[in-house]
Amino acid sequence: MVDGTIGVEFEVSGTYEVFRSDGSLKQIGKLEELSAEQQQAVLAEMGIELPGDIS
Amino acid sequence: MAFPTVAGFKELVQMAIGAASDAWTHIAVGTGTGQSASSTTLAAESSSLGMSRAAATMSAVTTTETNDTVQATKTFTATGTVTITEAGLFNNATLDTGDMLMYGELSPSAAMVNGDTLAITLKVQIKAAA
Repeated sequence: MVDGTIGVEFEVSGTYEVFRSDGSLKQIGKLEELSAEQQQAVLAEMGIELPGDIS
Repeated sequence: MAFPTVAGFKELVQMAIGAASDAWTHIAVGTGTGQSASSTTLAAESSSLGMSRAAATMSAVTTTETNDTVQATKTFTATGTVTITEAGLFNNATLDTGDMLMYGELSPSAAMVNGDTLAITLKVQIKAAA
């Protein structure tokens, strides 16, 4: 973030459940979280360089 | 991976200036992986077996501040065997079209057989960056 500005952050998440036809719970899960490397790649794609990055 | 998309940011700007009014209303699921922040579609959006893109129940819910989070929920019922690996939130009802606000890969994948239901919730919280 540039000094004197306030940035906006989008935090994305998701969850799910799978139920069998009899209504019993079969599986639960979530949207996979980004690894640090993946997070950096996404931000780079958006033109954002993290502070301290050396490239 | 789960992340907001560049297309979503651009559409939010259009909405802010009144040039667009198509809210995010539909959840799509698919069988691919590997999309990136600049992607505008799922890798392999499902269009059969009960897994076609569908209108979600949309609401503003509270994560930190009151109503700071977009929430979309939808339950899909499988009519055959399919493994769902990805999901996205769109502002259009048509396969592979519209602006994708967010994308995510399911962990683990959802292995569905005929008669199974997939109840999925997607959330995007908008807040001041730390």
